Amino acid sequence: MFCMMRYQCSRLFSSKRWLFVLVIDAFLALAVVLDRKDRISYLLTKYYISAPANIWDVPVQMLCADIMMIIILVTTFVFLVGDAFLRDEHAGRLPMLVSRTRNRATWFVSLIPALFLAAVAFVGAAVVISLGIALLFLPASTSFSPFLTSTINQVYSFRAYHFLPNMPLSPPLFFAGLIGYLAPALCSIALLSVVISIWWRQTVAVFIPVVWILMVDMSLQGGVTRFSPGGGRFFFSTQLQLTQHWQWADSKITAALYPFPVAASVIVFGILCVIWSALGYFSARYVDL
Amino acid sequence: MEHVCELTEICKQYRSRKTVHEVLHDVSMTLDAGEVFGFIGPNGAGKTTLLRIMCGLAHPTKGKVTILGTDLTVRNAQLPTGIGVLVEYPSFIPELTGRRNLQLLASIRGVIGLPEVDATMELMGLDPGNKTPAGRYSLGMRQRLGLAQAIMEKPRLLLLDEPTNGLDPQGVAELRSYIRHLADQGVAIFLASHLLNEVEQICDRVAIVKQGHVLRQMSKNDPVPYRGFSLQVSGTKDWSLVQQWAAQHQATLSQKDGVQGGMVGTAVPVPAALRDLVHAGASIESITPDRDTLETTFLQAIQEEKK
Repeated sequence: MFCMMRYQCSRLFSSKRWLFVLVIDAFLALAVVLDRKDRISYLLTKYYISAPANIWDVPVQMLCADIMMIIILVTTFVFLVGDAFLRDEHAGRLPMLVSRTRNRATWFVSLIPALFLAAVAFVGAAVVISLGIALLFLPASTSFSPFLTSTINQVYSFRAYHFLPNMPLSPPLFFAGLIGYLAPALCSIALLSVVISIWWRQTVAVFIPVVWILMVDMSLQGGVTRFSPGGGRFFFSTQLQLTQHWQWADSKITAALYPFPVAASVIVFGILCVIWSALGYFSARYVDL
Repeated sequence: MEHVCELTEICKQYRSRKTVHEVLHDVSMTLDAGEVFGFIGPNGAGKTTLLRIMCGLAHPTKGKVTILGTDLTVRNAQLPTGIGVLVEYPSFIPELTGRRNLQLLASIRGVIGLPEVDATMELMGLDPGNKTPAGRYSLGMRQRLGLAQAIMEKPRLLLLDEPTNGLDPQGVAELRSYIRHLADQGVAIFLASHLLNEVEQICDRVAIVKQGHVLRQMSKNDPVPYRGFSLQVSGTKDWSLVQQWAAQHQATLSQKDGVQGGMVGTAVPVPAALRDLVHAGASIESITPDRDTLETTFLQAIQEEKK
């Protein structure tokens, strides 16, 4: 089992698709840097507000804002690992692997920790690369920037995502927590992709969870939040953004995810991972591989 | 004696919304230790599906599959150890070297180490020190690597799907003799192929399959119908001696155009006929018994199926 997991990790981590991931990360980071510089100069010229940014703004924007996090990074992660079953099947590796185990499901069970490690590496790479790009354009600091933590209305509404003004965690601890938060979330999406592809062996099947999040979950979330601001907490796309836990926390309006502690979301992701793992286990055991 | 592999009335159907497509129909066969079984048929005959069932990847719709004493039709059965599989066009982790790929695969079972991996690679004509990623291997090298992974753990049952794909003539000859060597050591070998010559030379028993139906099963030990022989002699004087011999033995004679030779239809065995002709003073250039080859049997079986 451990050796099979090592095989799965070697396969996932040696993929050339990581190069694409690195390029996407660098591109997004650069886009955030340019956007941030633009916003700060706008604030300064229009409202005479000085709220400078620093390097920590870039990974926060990349991994906590829905447009980048959900649309680009989730899609990229599914592209990276979601077709693990299809690739093994099309390449004819399954007979070689399954004939070396005592149980047909070992292939799938060993993939679960490998996907989790890939998710950790994926988020870790996004943080590191965004910091690396940010260092080229923005000042380094040991704390979050005034732009990120400002409570001035003009800055607050300009951030386009929500961040706790008095964030108690230091940046390294915040990002360690973010990796721990996003890894099970991404792992649950990738697991669902793999399970669907066991049943429906088309590349398009791999992207069903992404399409569901983008087209159904996000649309419904938008509609529900309009009528009942607290209703957004029940949607996956809201849960994916760690900073949403503090959205409206300092507002008089109804809280969104605020009443839910971060741990509750992690537990939800964990439960989803368990459900998809169980489904995948029985699929791998009883469906023709 | 328990068979290494026993298939009883295996059926495999794939259902779509409106149709049921039967890939295998009542396939029964046994395979014993030290035996090479050839499964031949055109593309789409069901060879690969049967191989997938035998290595536990697919479940038959009906029938019983017993591999190395394990009934694979029991849904939660543990898969037997001791199976080596080579699929058609094997593929590996493209970014890793061939040696690293084999090392990772070997670690799953954990019965062999790196020295055995290196030895198997050398046996298959691959250099363990080659740093080229497996993704850049030629088709022939990939096939050799596939064969290496199939045999490196010394399996008791070897399942080979088109093993000579992409191999050069020398590689094919080496593989043929190696398969025979493995069979002599007691390994049971199942070989799915559409290359009749290859199967004829290696296999002890053969099943001809078309669209999932086994049309005929033959053994190397089955009596082969003898219809006479074809021969070629040196000159016209020799051919007239052949004609005299044919008349004496009520043999039919059909001469090939422009050649001092032809087909002789007779029940007289080749050694006896040869002795008589030489004794009569005929100068014989060549003589070949006229027997059914696997190719003629295969084509005959396919024709009968069409009728």
